[in-house]
Amino acid sequence: MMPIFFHAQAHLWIAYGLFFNGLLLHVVLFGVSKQYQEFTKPLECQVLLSFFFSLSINGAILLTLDTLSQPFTMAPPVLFLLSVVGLLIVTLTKLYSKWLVRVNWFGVALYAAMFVILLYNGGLIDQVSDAWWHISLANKIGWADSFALEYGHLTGTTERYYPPLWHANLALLRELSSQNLSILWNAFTAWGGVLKLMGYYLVGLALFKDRNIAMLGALLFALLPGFGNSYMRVSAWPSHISYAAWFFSIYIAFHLINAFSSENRLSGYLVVFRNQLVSLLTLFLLVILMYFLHQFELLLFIAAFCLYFCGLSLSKLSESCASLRPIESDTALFVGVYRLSLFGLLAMSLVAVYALRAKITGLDYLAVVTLPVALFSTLLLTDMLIDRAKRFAKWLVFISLGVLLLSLNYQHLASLFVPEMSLPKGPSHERPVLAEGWFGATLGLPGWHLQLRAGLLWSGVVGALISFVMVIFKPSREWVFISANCLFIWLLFLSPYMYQWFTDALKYHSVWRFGMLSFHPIAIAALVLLCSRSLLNGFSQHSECHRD
Amino acid sequence: MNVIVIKPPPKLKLFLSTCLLFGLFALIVVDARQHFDPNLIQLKKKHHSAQRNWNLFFGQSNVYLSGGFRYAEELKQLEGVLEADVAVFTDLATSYYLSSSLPVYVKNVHAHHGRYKSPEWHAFINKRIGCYINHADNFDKFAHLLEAEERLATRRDVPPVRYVVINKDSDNINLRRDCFLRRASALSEVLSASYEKIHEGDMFVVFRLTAFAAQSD
Repeated sequence: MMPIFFHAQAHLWIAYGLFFNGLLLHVVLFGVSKQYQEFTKPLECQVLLSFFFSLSINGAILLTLDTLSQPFTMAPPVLFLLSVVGLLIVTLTKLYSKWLVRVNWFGVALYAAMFVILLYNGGLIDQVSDAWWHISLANKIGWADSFALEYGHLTGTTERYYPPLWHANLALLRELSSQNLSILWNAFTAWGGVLKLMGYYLVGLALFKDRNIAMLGALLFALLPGFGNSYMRVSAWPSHISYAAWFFSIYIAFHLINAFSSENRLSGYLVVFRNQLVSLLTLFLLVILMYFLHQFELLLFIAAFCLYFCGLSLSKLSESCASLRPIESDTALFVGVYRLSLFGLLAMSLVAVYALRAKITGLDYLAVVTLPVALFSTLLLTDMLIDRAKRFAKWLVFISLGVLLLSLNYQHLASLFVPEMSLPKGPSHERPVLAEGWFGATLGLPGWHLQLRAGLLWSGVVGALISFVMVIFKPSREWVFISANCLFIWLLFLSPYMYQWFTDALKYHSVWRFGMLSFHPIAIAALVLLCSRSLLNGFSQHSECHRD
Repeated sequence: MNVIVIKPPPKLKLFLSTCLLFGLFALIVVDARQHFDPNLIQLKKKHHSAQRNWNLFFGQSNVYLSGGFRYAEELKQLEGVLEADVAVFTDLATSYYLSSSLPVYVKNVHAHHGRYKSPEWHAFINKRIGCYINHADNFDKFAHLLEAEERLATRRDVPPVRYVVINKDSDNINLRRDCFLRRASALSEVLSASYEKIHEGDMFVVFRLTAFAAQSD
């Protein structure tokens, strides 16, 4: 019979192993650094920082033990010692007295509801899903006392490298708690779901600087698609831990952009750099964590901001976007960073041409490898010419947009609404569906399994439409950010050329990620609240006029 | 006296805002409605794929029965029974349960988790030969595969298969679908005849593969 307090011990150990030491470090930093206080007051920031600090501390301890060839069984005493030292520092120096938390009680209710739902639904462990692959890896890291396994963890034959930070943390948690890894995984799902929600709240807050929009966005994030249980049940997957880091890094990146965009001189930048050193370091830590948690979210982070600056740069072409100016993308620092990123992407796409040369057996694959080169060079050229030769730049953008629109597979798009029009399936359910290229070759596209259909309908259709309309009629940087990221979804999910390029260039079989399909809740929340306010203002203005 | 006259908002704007607001609200309601449809809930609960999990009403009791948690105690006992760094042959779900708790490797895994890399095992598992080794031909195939694997183990540095584990848990939905559980008694019988039974607990029966000669030899 199922116990009443299901996995209660596991929850207590998770609270200690994955939050407590991080919280102590957070309280210390909060007490000693005013810079740190500036961006960490919301409850969501504090919980996320406690978690990510704990992951880092645990990872550092295990890495040290691994390097010194010591068993991981030595990690728990080190952790307990750190807790005692941390508690002593916090209490003796009375740093806790400076600790402030800005709590949004509606948010707390939402997080509690999500926690309870996931406590009930569990962590998708009841079927033999990829969760078990990850648990197996965590198990072998624990037994081998090492991040670098000699053999593949499942069959004992060679296996590809997988970023091990989350698995190592799970191994440590088992060492601490003596609980079975499957129990820890299942219990952590409820915590992981809340962390993602908190991260998503911070994205909304960073974009709109409006707590109501951010909170409604977080609520919709939990509900659409799947009504509260779809992707939340996989919250213990390393990619989803990395999503929380990705969302949080967007929040810190906007905090930094705001700080740096107030300056346009080198001496000014140095001052801001000094003032923002702590947030820069925090962002750097998150970047490292994303790299060792799942890697792909680091790419999403870079892509999100490249697309954002690309959108801001191209907005110079439109008269209706004149209201956006002055804006950060026009300052020397961001122009430099944007152009450097484009150079980097261009170089990467050229390297990919060389690396994938053996696959170029026809015109379609030639298009696969050359399309990104053309795209990145066009964007770079446009950005450099936009002030001097606006007309030429406009033509370049129109032609590129035309080529990109031609590269989309419209049958695949139509199959979103009419399932009978679906493209032929690949060799297995998880493999890409087969799309025909311009010249008859077969290229891949992500199929509509695992709720990608619902995700793309919401994010790629509803979210994209809302954000594109808002960029045209009420341009602002937040709408540029959302629409640019929605465009990315279209390129990756509907263009076989771009999908094939990403898959082959990154040598990664599932470049489609659920995290990319997550910008619609903020778009809907912002639109609904802006409309409601406009409506209420309208009514109040009506009544005032009547009074006059 | 300055009188500020506020112009009434354009009626069209108000109308459009209201329509948009209610339109989006309706969209969310439509999306949410399906999650409370009793027929769909039942259909999903019985579904073989991940669909059964995209369901608000797929609760912890289901997870408890098929999540492998109930084996935690016996898996701890197996730590002292199974030799480390060797491979085990068992059903698909138990392969993952064992690999996630013990320092052993497994052969029966999903194709996309590396089974393709071992074509002999891939074919053996795909054709479900492992479930019917009470037939002499199949037992021979099994024994020959183990022999071949043993030779490969020394040459290629892959872990040798040393154990067969039978999971008797009929409450686990993953096992109920596997021929290994359905054929458990026949398998136990034929394995008992040739190999040493080293553990029999509430859930697991473990056989040590000590000889690799085919039955017909």
